[in-house]
Parts: sequence; structure tokens; C-alpha cells
Amino acid sequence: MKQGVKLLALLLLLSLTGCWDRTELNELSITSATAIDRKDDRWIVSYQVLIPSVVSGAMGMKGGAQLPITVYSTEGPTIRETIYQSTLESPRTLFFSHNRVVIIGEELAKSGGLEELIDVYFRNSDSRETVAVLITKGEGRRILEQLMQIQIIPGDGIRETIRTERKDFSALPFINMYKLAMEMTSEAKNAVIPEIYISGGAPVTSADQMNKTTMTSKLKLGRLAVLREGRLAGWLEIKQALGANFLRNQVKSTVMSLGCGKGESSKESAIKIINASTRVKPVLQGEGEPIRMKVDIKAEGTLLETNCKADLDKPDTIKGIEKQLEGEISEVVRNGFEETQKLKADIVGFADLIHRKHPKQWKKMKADWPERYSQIQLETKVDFTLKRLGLTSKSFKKMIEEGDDS
Amino acid sequence: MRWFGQLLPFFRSSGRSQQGRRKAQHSSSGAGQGPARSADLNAALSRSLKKNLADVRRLLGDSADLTVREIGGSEGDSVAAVLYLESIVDSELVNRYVMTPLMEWTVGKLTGDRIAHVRENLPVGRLQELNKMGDLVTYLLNGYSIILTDGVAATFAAATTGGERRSVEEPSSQTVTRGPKESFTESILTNMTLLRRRIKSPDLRVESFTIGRKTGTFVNLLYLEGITLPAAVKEIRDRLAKIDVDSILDSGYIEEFIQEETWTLFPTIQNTERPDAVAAGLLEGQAAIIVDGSPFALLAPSSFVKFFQSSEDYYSRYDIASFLRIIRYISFLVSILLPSLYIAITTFHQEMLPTPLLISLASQREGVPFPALVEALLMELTFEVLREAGVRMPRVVGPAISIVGALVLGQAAVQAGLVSAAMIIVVSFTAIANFVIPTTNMSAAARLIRFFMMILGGTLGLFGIMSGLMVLLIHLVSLKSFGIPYMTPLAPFIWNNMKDVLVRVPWPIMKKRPMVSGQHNATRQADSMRVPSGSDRKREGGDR
Amino acid sequence: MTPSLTKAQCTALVVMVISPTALLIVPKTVMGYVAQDAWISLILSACAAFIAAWMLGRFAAEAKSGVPFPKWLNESSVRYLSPVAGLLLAAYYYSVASTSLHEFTTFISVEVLGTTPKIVLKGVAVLVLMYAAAKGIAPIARISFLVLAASGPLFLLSTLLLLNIMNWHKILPIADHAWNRILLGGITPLGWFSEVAIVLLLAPHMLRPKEVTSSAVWGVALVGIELTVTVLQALFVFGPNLVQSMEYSSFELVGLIEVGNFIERVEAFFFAFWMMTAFLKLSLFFYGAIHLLETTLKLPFSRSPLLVAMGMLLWLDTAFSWPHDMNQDLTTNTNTVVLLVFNLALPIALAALYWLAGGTKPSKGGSDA
Repeated sequence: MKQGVKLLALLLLLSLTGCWDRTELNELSITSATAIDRKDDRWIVSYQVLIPSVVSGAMGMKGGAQLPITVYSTEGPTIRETIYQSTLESPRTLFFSHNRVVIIGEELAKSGGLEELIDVYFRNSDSRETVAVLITKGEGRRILEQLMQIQIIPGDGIRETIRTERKDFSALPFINMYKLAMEMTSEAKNAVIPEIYISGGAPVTSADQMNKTTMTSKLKLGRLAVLREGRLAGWLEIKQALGANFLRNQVKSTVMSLGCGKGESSKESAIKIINASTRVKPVLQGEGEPIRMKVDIKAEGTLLETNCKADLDKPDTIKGIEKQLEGEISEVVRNGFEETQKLKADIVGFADLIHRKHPKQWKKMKADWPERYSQIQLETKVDFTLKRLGLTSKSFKKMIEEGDDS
Repeated sequence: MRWFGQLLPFFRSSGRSQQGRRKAQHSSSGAGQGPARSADLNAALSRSLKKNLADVRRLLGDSADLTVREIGGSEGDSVAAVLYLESIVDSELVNRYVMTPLMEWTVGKLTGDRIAHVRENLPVGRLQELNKMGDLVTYLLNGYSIILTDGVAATFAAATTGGERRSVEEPSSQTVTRGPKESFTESILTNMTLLRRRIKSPDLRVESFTIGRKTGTFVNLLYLEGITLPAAVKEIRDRLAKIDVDSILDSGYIEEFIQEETWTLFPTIQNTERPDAVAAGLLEGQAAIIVDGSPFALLAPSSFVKFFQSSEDYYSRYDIASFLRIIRYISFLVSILLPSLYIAITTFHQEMLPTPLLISLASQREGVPFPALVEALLMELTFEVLREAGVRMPRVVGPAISIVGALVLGQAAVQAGLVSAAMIIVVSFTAIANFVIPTTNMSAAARLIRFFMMILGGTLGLFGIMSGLMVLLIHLVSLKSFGIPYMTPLAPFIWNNMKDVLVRVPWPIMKKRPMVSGQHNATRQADSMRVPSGSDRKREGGDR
Repeated sequence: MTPSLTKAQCTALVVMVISPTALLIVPKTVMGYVAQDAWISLILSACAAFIAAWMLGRFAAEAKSGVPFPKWLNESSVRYLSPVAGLLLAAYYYSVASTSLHEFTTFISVEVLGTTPKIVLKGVAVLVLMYAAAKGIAPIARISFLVLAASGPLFLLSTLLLLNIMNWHKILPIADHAWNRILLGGITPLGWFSEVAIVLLLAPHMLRPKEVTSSAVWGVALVGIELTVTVLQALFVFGPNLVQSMEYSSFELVGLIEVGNFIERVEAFFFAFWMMTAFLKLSLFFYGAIHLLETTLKLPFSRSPLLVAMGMLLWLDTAFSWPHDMNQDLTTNTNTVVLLVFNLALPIALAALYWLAGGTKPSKGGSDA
């Protein structure tokens, strides 16, 4: 009994003294995207903050005249101090747990400030490591100010864009903070970050610009940035990025176009590749010799579109298409790989592979790996199976022509 | 004929604890309290009829319902008299079986040994001989008719108990859709009728107590010999015998006097209005306590899981019964934890919420003046006020309350921006979940714990809630009900008894009684009982 | 005191004693030392711990049901050591309770409740501990069993949900580090496993003390599996290089779980479950200290004054003893030594003396509560 009274007394005391960690929902400033830039020695952090009443109103009813987000920036000598400087101008505490995207400015990547950024993310409990990372040319803040169609919250929209891209097109990988950290601490210490930019004309930052059926500019994913030891080294175009992704075994599904026969330049068929898997086997040839990498890609696919006159009922035609696609894939992979070799940046995990398979030799090769990497010979072997043709067997063009003939 | 006779040691019982009963009996005769002094009550009857009558009238203060019918002889010089309290006798019985024979005899034959004559010839089933004033008064107060004869210092009490009683109706709480619809009434005789009809085994033992000095309430302790643990019965018996109070007006008084631990929110004794529930409890090894004047019978020893079992589970099919049982447990958790979890997550752990939900909640909170904890406490207290008002309201005004509650307090408060809509939803759902718990005492416990958890969750977030849960768990696990751990069979974990806890397995599988009670007589079905399946039936009947 | 623990409950208690703090500290320490071979270190360490558990269990099985540990020591051949052993162990348990409480509060403060003063957190925790210790060991044992039963599926669930981001290639190449490093990496976990010595205290409470040996070994096995799987999970997801700097990798891991688009960032839920196990461990140690004090000093009064006194002492001691909150040398090196001395060296010395001197002498007077 006495214990009960004591317990009760303490509880009441607790509730009277106020609660230290309690933050009401209307005391939070919910950020959905942040952008980090570096100018000289100063950090500039920009925040895209949601206005909940407008967002939920917009979700329920038609899009109101008010804008759902507001963007502002602060500046300081270190990242965290910059963030806390925002208390000088914001009535609410910044809440980063729902932050979807971090946009890194090009300057930051060039000057090597990424390590500090990653340290902030791992050290603090309120910054999530699952946030998506994107890079942009120029200032990151402009990306935050851009409004998006359909998606009310642009930060969310950007994340969904890169997610669907990885699922359906697989050219650019989905990089979040911990994956970035993992890649930067891997044996080769190289990483990649997809690029986002505003394509089109003037940026869309106000409500009347949104009130049209076509927007003057859109947020779009672009190339792949390659980082060598934490600094920006170069860019890969989309197709090259796809090739690199094949080597990283991160292709989920993508669509490639083929011509009607080998060597045709105009593409007339489209094939969707699903279930691609890659196996890489290193073959060491001796001291002065370049390393050979045997790449074994297996893939399956469906035919999505064709304008060729070939008869799809015949197995030979199918084999021909398969062979053609195998060649295409090989070509794409080779192109991507050669581009990375030019940049001397091993972003495809070959260093880890050699470390795992031949640990003793790796110790010797570690020191001048970028050189060795640029001399690797790639041998690709692709095994593609066309599983399905869709609902029609002949192409429409062929049906018309057959109709003409008869 | 009324089966009665609880007071004198001649009554048939299992023969134990005569000590206990005598003590209760003594206390019910009143040792020195009130105007009836023990000197008066212990006095022997006198030979003079007039003196006896005067004494009785004085002891009862010339009560208006005391009826005295003097018989025979001339005015002021009667041969015999019949006394009874009009309010509690069945006048038909008195007139036909007591007065009529007496009148005939006094006219004709009441001569010689009058006592012997009455004793041998009065056509009444229960006839007691008395020679103390105290006993006379007690029997009089229990509805017996007292026959006094002049010149004899002894008297008879004939059982003629009657009077208005409530008839057997449907139970007001714990109703079922399928199953018996009889409920106990205030009369202990009716209740025993209902029980005896259900358990026709000679092993049903009935022990009686009289508790309460002024109320003289009859309390019966029932158990099945050979099934109930003797230690538990002994414990209950001892505790009942120790009660020494003025009044017992309801079984709730008895419950509070004999329960294991007072300083706990959780009930350790079940109460029920349903005779079939009592019968089922008896068959599982519990002991039942029936109190005269209360339609609620007690069942002990009890355990936590029994409060979540409803009679309906056993009358409907096992699948729906199991489903509903799981829902009950979830509702219990919800009614304890939902408000506190809501407060904790929205004020401490906002990262757990999916973003659209967070935005929706945040926009609802704009403009609300109170912090979440205060808002929750206000709404919960308002709901408790509404609930209590609903109980007190006369039936005609009842619907008005629900309209007031729903519209004014709910809708208007949200629109005025005093509370957020999500909070209303949380509070209402918690309240509804509370109603799902089948027994009122357990749902009362849940209502109270809810507040404790809310304060913890609102000040310390999930840490607070976990600390509260830990304290609650330790408390529950360390409770005992008459020697049996409260959380059996969950802790200590007895796998065999889990058949009736979270789900109810079909009857042919529940072969053994729960270990709570029936340890030494665990089998309740023949081994040949199997779950019926198609192949069995075919083999039995079908195609030859 | 009436014995009431079953074998399963004792196993659950052993698991609860070792795993909560081990889960916090061991992964970081071992992975920091041997990166991707941490799991090998753990398995070796667990094997050594089996032997230790078996030895301790055999010693504990000598206990008589219902006779507390110091008491039966007192009646046995090593009775001259019994008060010393009792007091030393009481002090040890108290200090472990204090350290663990500090670890626990630090973790909560870092991960969840940042600005709440730690003294309040410690105060609330101490209240819960006092309540638990007041009720005795039977409720703690029962709850431990239930929590253990529930944590199995939960553990499985978390592994399943993380399956799609795991990549088992990351632990290759196996045995990248030198063998002596791997062995050394197993010393710290062994220190934590050696906390199985609590069976010495638990055996008299058991219904059948002879079963305590198998409880001890089973308990160590379960914890060993848990730790190895945790370390493997962290390695599979984060890779060997990243985990070396992470303070609490298992909680980072569950923070990554994403189901669909609405269940994310649910680590507070797993963390709440872990808190329950931590409370159980703390109550067990606190109860152990109080129980040892009571029985060694043969205190004649009821438990409450001792509880309140020890509770206040624990609270204030934990609140003011540590100027820094960090897991530094203290928890890796010093603590390991302390653990090994009190959990292995002391009982083994006692056991050796006990058996050398001929085991239990026929006791005078038998057991009384």
C-alpha cells in the first residue's frame, strides 16, 4: 500500500514538472527535402518545409491557391551549426525524420565535403540513413523550390521518381545515405549518385504557374555522377549508367530497343528485360598481365513492340532476336565499363570481388588499383531468353502487308 | 413447504466447521448491540402465555406487522396463540396448515400433553421446538409462525415462509444470444432451485453461513466434492467465518471481505447472474457463494483468463468463439493502451507515423489550445461523465443523452477547434473496446489503468509506457486467488491448459479440467470422445 | 522461500541476464576488432561459454531446493569463505546493476528521449526495480519466460523483413584476420556469457535444482545464437567496414525496415521490446544483490527497508557516478576483467575448494526459509 502511494506521488510529480521531450505536432517543422551546398568555406543548408493544413486540405479536396511548401536556407561553418541557426528565423523545431531526399550541390561534391555530411547522418539519431541522395549541377536550393505536378509534396515526389525509375528502368541506382557510406568505405572507395535537374524553361515556383495543364519546367533525373574517393570525378550518361548497373547486378527491369536485323540503325522492336542477374569472375593472369573479368549475364524478357516483318512463329526468328539483344546488352555493358575505366573509378565493385576471391593477391594490388582497373579486360557472355511475345504473334505491319498481297 | 432451516445445528451439511458457523450464528444473534439486549434474548420462555406475548411485543417494539392470533378460551385467557410477521409469511400456509388444525384442536382435543399433540399432528413439514426468547425472535423474523401454548415453557416454530419475490427473469448483464436466459433472483431459495436443476449430482455440497448482525443474511457455499481443491474450499470457509459486520446487503460486500488482496485493481473473484455460468464454474473446480438478497453469485478461486470467458463461447461453435475471444483480448489491450500509445507516438515518436498520417494529424492539431495529454485526459473524463450519466438517466431521457454526447461534445468540440478529430476517434474507440470485455469488474480495472498509462505515456513516451507495463505485468503475475496464481495458465505456463485461453478448442478436445482447480479429478470426458469427422460418420452409418 | 522455478523459466532467466546488455555492447566491440570474422569469434566464444556454463551448472546443482546460496555454502565444506563470497557477490551484483542501469539509461537517452534528465529516467527505472524485487523472483521468472517466447518470432520477423537488403557476400573473405585476433575478439563476449553464473543464485529457487546445468547451457546457447545472428545481420547489410564505427548497429538495422510505404522507422517498437528485457535483467540483478545481502547477513527484518535503502543508493550512485556517458575503455576492457573475475574465477575457486574439501557435509538443521 505504501509503495502504491509513493508511486502515485512520484507520477503526479512527473506530470507536474512538465515533460522534457514532448513536442506537439503543431510545434514541428516537417521537412520533406533538404539541399546542402558549399560555398568557399561555408555550408548552406536549405529546407523544404511542409505546411500541413494546406497539404491535407489539398489531399482531400482540390488543390488550393496556397502553396504546400516553403523553402528557406541558412548558412554556417559546420552543417549542424547551420541547422541550429534556423532557430533564429523559424518558430518551430525542424523535424528531419520524414525527410525524403537530400540534394547535394556540385560544389560540395567537388570539394570533398561528403564525408562530413555522412558523419552528421550517422552520428545523430534524428537524421535517417534511409534518405535518398541526389546530386545536382549548380545550387541545390533551386531543386527544392520547384513544384511538381500530381505529387503535392515535391520531396516525396522526387523520391518516388527515383524509386520507380529503379524498379522499371534500372538505369540509375537508388542511393540512400547508408549505401553511399558503404560504397565510400568499400575497398575501391568510389561511389555514385544520380543527378536531378530542372529541365525546360523557367522554374515553376508559384501557384499560378501551377494552374496550367502543362508546366514550363519539370524535375528530371539525368546522368550518374561518379565520385572517386569522395570527390566528383565525372559523369555517366544514361545508357552507360545502365551498363554499369548490369555489372553491379542491380538491374531489375529495363526496356531496350532493337533494330530488325543486325546492323540496322533504326530501332523497330522493344523488349522488356526482367529478371537479370550478373555473375562476375575474376581471372588473374600473372604479375604484369591485365586482369580478365568474365561477366556472365542471364536475363529473360518479353516482347513489347515490334514493327519488323519477321515471322514470330518460327523459332529461328526468336533465336535471332535473342542473339541480337545479347549483342545489345554486351555493347551497353562494354560502353559503360569503358567510360568508368576512362575515369579510373571502380564503381562496379570489382575491388571487393578480388578481395573476396583472392585475398592474398589483393593485398599487393591494393595500392595501385585505379591503374589496374583501367587495364581490365572484360569478357561478356550474355544469355537472354525471350519468354513471351505478348498477345499477338505477327507484327501489325506484317499483317497489313499480308493483306495487301492476298 | 419451504426447504429451510439454516440456523440450528440439526441442519445437514458436510459436517465441518461447526465452530465457524456457531460464531457467525452468535454474531447474528447480536451480542450487546442495539436495544435487544442479550439478557433478554437469552432468557428462557415463561410458562405464562401472556408474559411471553408481552415479551415478544416489547422486543419487537410493537411492530405493526406482528400479527397475534389468540386461539381458544375466552378473552384474555387464551389457550394458545399464533404469532407471525405478516410481511414475510405465506398467509395461505398459515391459515390452512397452522391455524385451522389448531383451531380444531382447541375446540376439541388440545388437552393433556399439548406439546406432544402439536408435535405429532401439525401438518407442517418443518417444525422446530424452541425454548429461548432469542430463538423465537429469530425464527419469527425469518418467516416462521410461532405457536405458543399457555402453561408450557416451550414453543414451536412452523415453516411458513412466503412473501413477494421477484420472478425469474433474463439477466440484466452478461446476456447471450444463444444459451439459457434464466438469471438469479434475490431469493436464495430460488437460486438454489436454479442450481439444483442444473447439477443433479449428489456430490454437490452446500454449506450455510449467516453473516451480518443486523441483516442475518444467509450465505451458501457450494462446491463439488471430489473436484474442487479442498485447500481452496477451506480457505474460503475460513474467511467467510471470520466476517463480523453489521450488514451484508449484497454479494459485493462478501467479495471485498474475502478477497485476497485489497490493494489491487484487478478482481480476483468472479461474479455472475447466470446459473449456467455458476454451474460451469462448479464443474471446473471453483466454489460458488450465493448470498440471499443478491442476484449476483460469486465464484472463487478465479484467474485472469476466466474474466474473458463468456458463457456464450461454450454454446456457439468453436470457430466463432475463438475469434471473438481473441478480439476480447485485443480489446483489453486497446482499452488500456490506445490513448497512451497515441499520445506517446504523436508527441515523442513522430517518426513512426507514415508521412500522410503525420500531415493529416498535424493539420488537425493546428489551433488546438491544449497539449495532447491534457486533451486526452479531458476527453476521457468527459466520456466517463457521459457514461455515468447514462446509467443514472431515467429511461425516457436516455436517447437525449446519446444525442448530446455525440453531437455537442464530439462534433461541435471538433468544429470549435477545442479538440482534434483524431482524439475523438481514439477516445471513442477505446470506450467501445472497453465494453467488449465480458465482465464488468475487469473492464472497470481497464478503465482505471488507462489513466495511469496515459500519464506515463504523456510524460515519458514509450519508455514510460513500457515501465508501466512492466509494473502491471509484475503485479498481475504475483497476484494469487486463494492460493492459485492469477495468471495461470499463462504464467506459470501450462501448455495443457491453454486449450481454453486464447481460443476455444472444440469440446471433444477439452478432455481435462483446468489445473487451477481440478487437479485430482482432471478427466471430464471419456477417452473415446473424438472430434467428429466425415470418415467416422461413414463408418458408423452409411454404406454397408 | 519456496522454490518454484521450472527449467524453462531458469533458461529464460539466464537469457534475460546475458542478452540485453550484451546485445548493446558486444556487436560493436567484436566487429570493431575483427570486422567480418566477428561471427567466428562469437561462435568460438560461445563454445568456451558452454564449458563454463556446464561447470557452473554442476556447481550450482549441488544446491538444495529452498536453501539460499550463501546458506548452503555456509553448511558445506567451504563455510569459512561463505560470508566473504556472499558479500563479494552482493557487491558485484549491485555494481553490475548500477552499470547496466547506466548503460540502459544512456541508450534510451541517446536514441529516444534526448532532453529528459537522466536522473528522472533512472529514478523511474529504480522504482520499477524496487517493485519487482519486492515481489520476489517467481514473477520475474514467469515474465521472463513469456518475453523469451515472444522474442523468438519477433527476431525472426526482423530478419525476414531485412532479407531483401542483405547480401551475404559481405562476410567474405572468411578469416581475413589472423587467428589470434579472432580468438582475442572472443574474450569480451566470453566475459558477457560468463554472467551465466547467476545460476548459482537461481538453483536453490528451482523445483529441481539438478536441472540447472541444462538450463545454463541452453541459456548460453540461445544467447550465442542471438548474438551471432545479430552480428551476421549487421554484416550482411552494412558490410564490414561501416559497422566498425557504428555504436548500436542492431538498432540502426531495425531502423531500416520498410514494409510497403507505411511501415517505416519502426525501431521504437523493437526498442520497446528490448526495454522489457533490460528491465528484467536489472530487476534480476537488483534482486540478486538484495537477496545475497539478506541471506549473508541474516537480516532479521522484512525486505522493505532494505529495498528502499538499496533503491535510493542505486539511484543516486548511478546518477552521479559517471561524468561521461560514453562506452569507452571501461566497458570493453575493465568490465571484461571484472566480469571474468566474479563470474568465472570466484565461483570456480569456490567450486574447487568445495569439492576438494569433500562436498556438502551432512547439514545440521536442514533448510528453512
